[in-house]
Amino acid sequence: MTTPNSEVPYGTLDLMVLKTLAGLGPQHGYGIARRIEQVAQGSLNLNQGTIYPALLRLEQKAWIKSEWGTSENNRRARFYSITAAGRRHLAAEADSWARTVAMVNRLLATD
Amino acid sequence: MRTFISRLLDLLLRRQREDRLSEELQAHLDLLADEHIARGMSPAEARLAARRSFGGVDQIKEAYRDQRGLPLIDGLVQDLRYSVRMMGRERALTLTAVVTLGIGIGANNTVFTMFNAFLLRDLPVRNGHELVAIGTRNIELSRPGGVSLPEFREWQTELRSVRSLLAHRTRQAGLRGDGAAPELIWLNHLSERSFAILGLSPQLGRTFTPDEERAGAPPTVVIADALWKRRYGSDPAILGRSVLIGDTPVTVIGVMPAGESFPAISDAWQPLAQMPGLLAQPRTTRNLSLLARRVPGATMATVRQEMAAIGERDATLHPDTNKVVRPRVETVAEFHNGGWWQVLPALILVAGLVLLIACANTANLLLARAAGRSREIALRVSLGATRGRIVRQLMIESVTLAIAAGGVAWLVSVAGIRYVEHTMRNVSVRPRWTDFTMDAQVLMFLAGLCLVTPILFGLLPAWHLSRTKGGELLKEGGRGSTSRRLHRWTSGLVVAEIALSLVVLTCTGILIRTMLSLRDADRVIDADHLITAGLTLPASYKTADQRLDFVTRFGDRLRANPSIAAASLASTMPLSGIFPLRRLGLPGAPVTTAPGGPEIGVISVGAGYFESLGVAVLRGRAFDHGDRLGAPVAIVNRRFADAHFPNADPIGQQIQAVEAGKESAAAWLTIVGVSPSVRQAVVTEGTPVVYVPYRGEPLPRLDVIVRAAGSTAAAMPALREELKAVDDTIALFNPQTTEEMLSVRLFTHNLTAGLFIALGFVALLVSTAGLYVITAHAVTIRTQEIGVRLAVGAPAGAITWMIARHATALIVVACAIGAAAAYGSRDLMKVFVAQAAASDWMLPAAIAALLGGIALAAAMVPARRAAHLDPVAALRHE
Repeated sequence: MTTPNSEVPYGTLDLMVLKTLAGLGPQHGYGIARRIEQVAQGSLNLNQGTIYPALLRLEQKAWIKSEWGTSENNRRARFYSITAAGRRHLAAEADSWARTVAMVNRLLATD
Repeated sequence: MRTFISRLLDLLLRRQREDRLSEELQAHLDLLADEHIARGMSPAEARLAARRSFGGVDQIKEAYRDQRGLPLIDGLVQDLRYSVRMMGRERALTLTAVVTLGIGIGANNTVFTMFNAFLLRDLPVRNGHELVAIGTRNIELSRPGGVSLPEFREWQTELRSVRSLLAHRTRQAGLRGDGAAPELIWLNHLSERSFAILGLSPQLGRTFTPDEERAGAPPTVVIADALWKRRYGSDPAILGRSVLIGDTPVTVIGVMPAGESFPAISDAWQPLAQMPGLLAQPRTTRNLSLLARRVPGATMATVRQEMAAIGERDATLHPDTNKVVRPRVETVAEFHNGGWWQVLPALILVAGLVLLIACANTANLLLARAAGRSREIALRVSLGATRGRIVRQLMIESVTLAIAAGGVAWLVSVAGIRYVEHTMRNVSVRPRWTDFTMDAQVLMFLAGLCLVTPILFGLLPAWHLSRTKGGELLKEGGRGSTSRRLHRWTSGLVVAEIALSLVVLTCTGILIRTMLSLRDADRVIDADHLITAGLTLPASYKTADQRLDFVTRFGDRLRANPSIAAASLASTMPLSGIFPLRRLGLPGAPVTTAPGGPEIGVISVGAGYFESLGVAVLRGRAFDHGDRLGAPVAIVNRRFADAHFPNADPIGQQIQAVEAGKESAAAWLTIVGVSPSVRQAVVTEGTPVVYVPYRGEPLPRLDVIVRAAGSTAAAMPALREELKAVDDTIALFNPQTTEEMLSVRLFTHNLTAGLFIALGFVALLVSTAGLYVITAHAVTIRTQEIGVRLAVGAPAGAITWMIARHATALIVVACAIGAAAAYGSRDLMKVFVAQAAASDWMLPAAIAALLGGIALAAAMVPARRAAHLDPVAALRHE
């Protein structure tokens, strides 16, 4: 499995996608990418295409599911939504992420 | 795991998923572009901007694809498709390889199906795999035997490695007294609780109660479904009815389910206690067979060890009865089928050699194809394919080939098994559970062969081709040093193939000769229009005179019947092999009663015996009326005369046929005639035989021999009618024409001879086809060169010779090596078949000449075609 070629910290893109879907409900790939860019407020250099391998990975793990639908401006698009397993995984990962960040922060705070 | 399944699905739905990805990415780009347009960009600019912020579409697709599917399997699928395409390209080579390999694998699969049916199958009872069969072996005569009742009772309580020891014995018994015609049936006696131990329960009624299994209890019987259907029309009212078995009234208490024939063939079952004369049986009457379940953890070896120790103890404890007798422990399949199939290992060996030839042949065909492919491989190497990748690709091609051959093999084994079934269709003693279904084990064997043979035939060509270097070959235009190396391998394989075929043909030749000579040994009787049947006189024929009276009256009536030309009764008919063995007593010499000493067979015959067999007495005279009333005379067969009176005239000599334990009772007999050696048993042991008038040995067990005046179909009812007229309580057992009887009794010889002929033919076919294709391929490769030669005026003969020269050299070398190897291994078959005919140098030499001739003819066809090529077309050939 290859690492997605992006400047997003490795492993965090999955988390961001799951969080976006958990918050906004079913979204197409474009909507997810837009949302992540919005939240990042320009602090993230995201190649929008890189979310597709991530979406596939999450779908293979059954954390999200997808179906064809119509976008707001009447284009056929594939909509992704989070599954129950995905929510459980998100909760666990968010928790673990928070602890990791807190730990790193403490480490950085001590000189 | 879930990821794996999803990836697997991706693999199968590759096309759909690819479309979905493209559409999805396109939708995304469109959405982006829409947004840019909304901000006022021109559509073209918007699309460009969208691409920029999206990133490289193809890189994304690649990353996506890498994550999808299983790269390894993906590659394999690719290789597989490629190999199927490659197989389609060189059709003649591929077809030859698939068919010859398929026949080779199929031959092995057929032999394995038989092996599986005869020796690997468990008895169809509960936990049949736990069962072991226990018998005895006379170590001096090296003859297998059963177990006596005292031994069974002792072992029943003392054995530790097995539990639930049970005894059974199948015998023939007359069934009558139920309204239908008397019939001889297979009756099986079982020791206590046997049905429960085996897990067998009746479909109707019940099995024996403990009381019924005691000696002296009112006799009961459980019958088989087949007998119930055949004789009683599946009438449930049979339960509780009384029938006569022998002369005893017996109550029917149960019917076993359809197909149940424990242990091998049975029409009915009775408790062991109902076996006549059972309790009086001494230790020397060993007519029981034992079965037992191994306790958990006990292997066959454990049981053998325990039984061996008991055997030694019994030999010391009972020296008079057990000195030369040792227990014998076998699997149930060995117990029932081992004897017949001693020839199976030889079949397996020869079939294995045939498969080896087929593999060598396939390797050769692949090498021949490799010559045409070195350019392709060189290209792939130049483009960066690793050696491992090339070998993998080629091995997958080999496996694909073997799988296709597996399909052919399946057809071959279906046909082979049909032939075996056909040969065995009349064999009544074959256990009903030894059917030749291709069960899971056979399919696994077949699959195994398809996976193992590619290693045998595919590795060499793959290794060879993978040594191809990139640039070098492209420069050479596909020929040069590689071709020469290839050529050496091809030649070597052709030589190996033909030489091996020669060995196989010699081995099969020896075995076929052996089987046919065993089959035809001492077949001096005129089997035409001959019918035989068995019968047993009931106990009401108490005295010898009563029995003689029956023999005389029945014989006279038969001979008087217009549809019967000649008839006789005797204690045993030829080929049945059942006669008492006695020791020979000669005047002035003590009788050797020690075990292992010379034995003679005694057959008592009624009037007209030799006439009805169509055998003339060689010297002296046949028995006359006076002899039949009880004169102490004998006729000996030629083998007897040769063995015991090699230098004297046997006529007028005095002999004794001494029964063990009754030395003083033996009468002196005067030899009045010498008969030819009539074959008496299926396995010829060449036993010297003494014929006495029936009165001299009035056994109740008789065989009827009838020669029909016209058709046997008319004589058969006449035989039944006459018996009914003499005594309607006697059942006729197994009446059949001698042709039928011979085909049944000698089926192993016919079958194995047939199978060996087939295997020899396959070896011949495969190696010849291989040589033909190799030579034809050499012509194809050298077409341009041949064209040049023809164009500059080479005569046709020179071209033919140029091609044939090499093939001839190979054939000569192969035949020399093969003949030498065949001569060296001429005694090999003796290991498998004790009676294997000795082979001289003639057989290998003759086969070498034959094989060489056929191979040369096969090579000449393409060689001659080469000489008649059109030079212009040949020059253009690429």
